[in-house]
Amino acid sequence: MREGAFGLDPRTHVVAIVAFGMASIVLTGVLETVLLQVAAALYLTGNGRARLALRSCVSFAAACGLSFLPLPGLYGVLFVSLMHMVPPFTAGCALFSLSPSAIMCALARWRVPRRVLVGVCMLFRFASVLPFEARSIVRGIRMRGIFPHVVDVVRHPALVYECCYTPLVMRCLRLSAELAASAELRGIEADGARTSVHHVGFGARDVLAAATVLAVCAGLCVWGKVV
Amino acid sequence: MATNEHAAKTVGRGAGKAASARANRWTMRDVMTFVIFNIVIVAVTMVVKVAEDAVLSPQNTFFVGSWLFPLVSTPFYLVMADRIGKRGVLAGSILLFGILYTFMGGVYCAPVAVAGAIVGELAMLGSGAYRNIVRAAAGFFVYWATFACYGIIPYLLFRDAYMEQLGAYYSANDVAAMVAQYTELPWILLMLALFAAGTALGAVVGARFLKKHVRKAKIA
Repeated sequence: MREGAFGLDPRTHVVAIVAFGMASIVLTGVLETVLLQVAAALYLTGNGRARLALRSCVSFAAACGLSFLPLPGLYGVLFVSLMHMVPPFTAGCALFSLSPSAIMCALARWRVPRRVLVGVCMLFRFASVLPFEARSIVRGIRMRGIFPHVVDVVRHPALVYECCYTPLVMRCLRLSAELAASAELRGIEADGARTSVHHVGFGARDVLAAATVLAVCAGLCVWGKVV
Repeated sequence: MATNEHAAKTVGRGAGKAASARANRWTMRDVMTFVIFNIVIVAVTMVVKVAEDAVLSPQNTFFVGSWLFPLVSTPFYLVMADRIGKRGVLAGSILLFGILYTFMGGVYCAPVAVAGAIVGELAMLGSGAYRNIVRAAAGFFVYWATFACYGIIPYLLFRDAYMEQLGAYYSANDVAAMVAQYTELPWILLMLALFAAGTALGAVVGARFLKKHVRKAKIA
């Protein structure tokens, strides 16, 4: 199963992230950075994530617009840095939005140790669960009426930290034990080559895509220096 | 007789090494604990960073973030180190943060993270280091020193490009003042001192929480 029109291998996405990341550091002008974002969005669209590409372009436009606000001191530096982080992150979305199974399979072909593979898979799985856990903790605090007013949160920061820390740590400890048991029962330790229903394989189209991305990034950098 | 004794000693030494290797081998639960706690550490740091950036200007975040990030994250690290207690926790944590930064656009972070991971793991040599609060906290300072380098290295490598980027928006004096915080030695030493103070304070809080909540619950 291929993702989008390009249907590239996860390892090609890693090359794209590095290329867009380097170009984002080297480029200084607004126009070149905008073009870099357009190229990254096209790359993401080609990999079947058109809506995500559109959203990243909106974020880029917002960061770009905010960086021009006449704020005192260097408050706007955050937006300039953010603007330069969006293109590599946009290309990175092609990798992050892949199935963990495809990523694990690609990494397994690079002879990455099994423990690391499991770690990478967990990284993708748990990162999406964390906001849910945080909301549950906040709901629990509210239900117990520990901080009836918002002002109480500001007045007792140490207690706020302890009230968030304790349930979060307990939940994490339990979750790690339960997930480990579940993974072992599902045969995570089993020997043999890992397979995936998603396309994994470095072919001619991957070489072409990687070469195109590198050429576009290098071209923008050269153009940025000349203009 | 002497040959037999020598053979027995050799076998004993070999068995001891094998047992030690087995004890240091990460279980699936260790891997899960490592990933979950590292995500929490990164998430907590990011939340504090966003809040700080929203309230303070970049010149002033330097004085707050440097001690606040380690203060809020060290208690989580201590629980993770205490539960896993095996070689590679610190090196893995530094590498994971470095890889996340690399994928977020900071490609230069990858080699810095590798160097930090080596230094960090060397600092944790010896048995029981991860379960010793003082040593674990000292090791976690290396994590934050590496984090500081993520800020310093791009200024050293790409200083002109960065100043040119910001020069399109802000006055040259403001930009130069901010860049000085990451390139001049007294400022860098101050930043490291603040990181050390934050880590030490976080370790005091973390040790108290570890005893009060985690060990008492008997699930670590």
